[in-house]
Amino acid sequence: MNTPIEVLLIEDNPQDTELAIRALKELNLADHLIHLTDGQAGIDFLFGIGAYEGRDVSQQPKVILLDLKLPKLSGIEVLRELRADERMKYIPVVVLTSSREERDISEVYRLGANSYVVKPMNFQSYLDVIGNMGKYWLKINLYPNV
Amino acid sequence: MKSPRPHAKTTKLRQEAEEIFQEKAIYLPEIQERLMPESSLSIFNELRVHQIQLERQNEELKRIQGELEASQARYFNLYELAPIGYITVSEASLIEQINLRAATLLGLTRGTSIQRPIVDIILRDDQDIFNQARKKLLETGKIQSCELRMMRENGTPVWVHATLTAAEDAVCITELRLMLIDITERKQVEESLESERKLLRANEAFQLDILNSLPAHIAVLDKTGTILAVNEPWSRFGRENSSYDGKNTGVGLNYLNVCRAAIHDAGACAKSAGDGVEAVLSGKQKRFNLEYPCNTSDRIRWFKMEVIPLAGKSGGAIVAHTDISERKQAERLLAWEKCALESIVSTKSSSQMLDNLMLGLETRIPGALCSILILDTDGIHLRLGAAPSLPPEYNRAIDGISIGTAVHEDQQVIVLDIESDPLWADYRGLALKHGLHVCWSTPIRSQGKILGTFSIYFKEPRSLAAADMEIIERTVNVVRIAIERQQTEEKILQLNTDLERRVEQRTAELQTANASLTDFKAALDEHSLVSITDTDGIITYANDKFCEMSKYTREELLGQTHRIVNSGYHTPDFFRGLWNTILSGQVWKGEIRNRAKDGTIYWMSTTIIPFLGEDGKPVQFITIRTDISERKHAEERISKLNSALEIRAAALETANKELDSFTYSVSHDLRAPLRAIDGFSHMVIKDHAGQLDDEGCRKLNVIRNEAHRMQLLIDDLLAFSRLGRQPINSILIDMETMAKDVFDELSAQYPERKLRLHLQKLPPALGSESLIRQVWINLISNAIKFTRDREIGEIEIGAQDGGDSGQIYSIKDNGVGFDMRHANKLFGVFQRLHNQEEFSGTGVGLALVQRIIIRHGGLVWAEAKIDHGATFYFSLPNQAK
Repeated sequence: MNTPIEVLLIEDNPQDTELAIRALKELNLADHLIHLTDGQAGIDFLFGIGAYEGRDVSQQPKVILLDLKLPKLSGIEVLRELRADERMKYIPVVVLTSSREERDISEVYRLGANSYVVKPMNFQSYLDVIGNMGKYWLKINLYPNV
Repeated sequence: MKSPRPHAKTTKLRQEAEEIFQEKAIYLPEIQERLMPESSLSIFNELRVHQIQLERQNEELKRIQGELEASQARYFNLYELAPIGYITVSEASLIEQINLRAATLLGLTRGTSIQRPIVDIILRDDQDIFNQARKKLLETGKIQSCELRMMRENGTPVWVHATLTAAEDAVCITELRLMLIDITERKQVEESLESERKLLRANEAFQLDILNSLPAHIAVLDKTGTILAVNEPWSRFGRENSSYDGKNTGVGLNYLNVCRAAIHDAGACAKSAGDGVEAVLSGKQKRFNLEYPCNTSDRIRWFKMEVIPLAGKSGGAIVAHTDISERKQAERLLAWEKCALESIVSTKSSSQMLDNLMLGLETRIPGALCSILILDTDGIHLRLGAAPSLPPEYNRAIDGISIGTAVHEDQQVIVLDIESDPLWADYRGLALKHGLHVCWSTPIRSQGKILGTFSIYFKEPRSLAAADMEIIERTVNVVRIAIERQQTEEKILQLNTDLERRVEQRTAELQTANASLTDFKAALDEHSLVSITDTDGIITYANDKFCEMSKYTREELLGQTHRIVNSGYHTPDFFRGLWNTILSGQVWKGEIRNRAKDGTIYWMSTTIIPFLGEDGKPVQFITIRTDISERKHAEERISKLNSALEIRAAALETANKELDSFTYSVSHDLRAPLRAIDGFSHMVIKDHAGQLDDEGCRKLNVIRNEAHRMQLLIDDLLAFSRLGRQPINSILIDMETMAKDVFDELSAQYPERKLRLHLQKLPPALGSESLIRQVWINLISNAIKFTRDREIGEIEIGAQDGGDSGQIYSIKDNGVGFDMRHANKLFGVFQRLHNQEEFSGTGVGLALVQRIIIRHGGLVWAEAKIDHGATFYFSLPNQAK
């Protein structure tokens, strides 16, 4: 478990998950990726509670790819809990979703998401978007030393 | 003093002395006798006798001296204190001596007055009197007396009676003696008497002047009637009227005879005058008065004769005649005026009345021909009002004359000679033809306006007298009143007519109103329940409808309150509010649920109108009720319907929310499988291309294309759905630029196509920028799409004013067009007029356009013909809206 976590993907749709991981893999960005399939699992993991009781919470992902429509806790709820905690405040959250609804976009930004990305329908576009995003947050963006 | 016989006395004195000597035998003492010789003794005796004689003489002298002193005292008293002033004046006319009386009288001190010239104390004016008297005294030697004014030391004069006497010695007059008696009082009495006499004389003259200056002619008759004296007016009247011999004043004539002589001329008046004088003279009558006319050729004169008996034993009478013409004239004028005014009031015909006025006037002014012209209502022409004595031909000529000619400058015009007066130039011939030579015209005015003119004509020359002026003035006044009255009457007549007409009209209106009111009441009774209640709420009237509705008879209702129909539905507060409203004088309106006698419930729309008394408090209430039971039932039904609707609205709301969540799901959930289909198809081709033949690859590609098309359908559907919820933020859009930009963007996607845009000037529009852009995108992309087969795609964008519809924009293409029979399907969702093989599309584009335009308040329509292109129009409301 010494391996540093780079990407936390919280996504319930297996096809989308596969597509996303494939896109990251093509750029070798999926080596330190953790995939969770519901909101509650995301919270448990990040806070080191529930099933992840005892996890070293100092190890946190460089970016969280968060779907909005999730079982148990929705992406919005996950985001709200995350931003309410001082420790989690600065973890970049990229909302990755099929929804183009304005209300979703504004709500997500209000809660402090760092980016909002609509999953492209076209496969190639999908690869490009995910790949670019992964490169940006993992390779280009700088983080404070918390 | 000189004694005339001193020797005789001396002798007597000697004898007496000798006798005394003998008797007393006075002897010298013996010694002396012895010592003396005889001769000496004789001498001694002689001496003794002489001594006695001297002693006696001395005694005598003493006695005489005493007598003298007494005499002198008497003289002093006499001289100084006498009631007469004495002044002795020297030959040189200087005061020698002055007694106390004189000095007191003249206020002099005796010391200072001595040796003053006598004339100093005589008033200068009277010095001559004194000098004359003195001169006469000196000449004749006779005592002179005169009265003159001396002058007091303080300068005031004092009247004195002076007597001058001369004191003379044997040869000549040596001094003048002046005796003065104060006569001041007497002089004063005399002076007052004199002034009284003057006053008397002046009074007499004054009385005579008065008598002469009296206007009355006065004569004094003796008891036989002979004229003893007359005053000047009497004489003058006699001279001027020559009723008897003008040379004398009438004195000496017998007045009774004069009267009798005049009976021939003056008739009854003269006779009664004579009888009256006789009656007074004989004492039968204390006093006699008579007013009588005494006319001359051109004047009417009146006199008043008064006879009163003369005081005293000798009898006789005083006769006075006074000229009362003016008074009589005034009286007669007044009478005429009164008569005229009465005639104005009583005579119906105004022309007849004016004629009478003129005729009456003519009898008062000898030779006068009177006329009245009245100003016409046009304010220009004068119409003949009255001229009873002027020739008709003249009147006809004058009638209608204009005011400028007849009334000059609004002033009285006295023409004494028509023949020569320039004012008559135009009418001279006419006037002279009828012998009219004199004309006095006077304007008749009322409140500054000319009513007409009054004229007096004379055939003979005639001067204007003060009395004439008076008559003219009065006449004008009366005529003014007459004309005003006539005009007023006309006005009143007009007003009366108007009034009658208005009364008739009003009556008709009232009748109509009354009829309407009856109709109204009938209508009201037909429609409403009407009742009247008093302030206690007791029903005093109820119409049939009320009885019918409440199912009570009228007899049952009257005397009851409205509680009889109370259904118990409303609270006591409700009725309290009602009563408070109507008792405060305000109308109450409301809906009341009532119960009929048989228990039927009915709803009444009720209006209660309070009728207020003079004190502002209600005296009764009229209640008008309309049956609204049906409406109430309807309301209940509506209420139920509303509840149902509310339920449905809630359901709809739920449905909407469901739709919303459906849309959300669509956007989210339906895409995921599509993405998977596309992605995995792609991965198959990429990862397992070698395991597939061409057919397999083609089929996978079909799967991908269909997935893509479904993606588009979902996107459009979501856009279309979103539009319904999205608010529109209107801004002013530059339509021309927007259309151009959109065309440029879209045409760039088809570099292989030849497209030509004809862009006209487009006015700006108000709308949501993104939505209107979407409209342009959809319409222009359609135009590009459907001109695909044309060598050159011609796209024409224009605009026109749609009037009330706002601005109309159009896009015309030369594409394939469509059959207008299907035009109704153009804007339906998923409606397509071409199959997918011909032209791709989801069938949402035009539906979206329509939805956007309708949401902006505009309209969309199209015109087309197959193969001849299509034109799409959309309108947007004017900017002002």
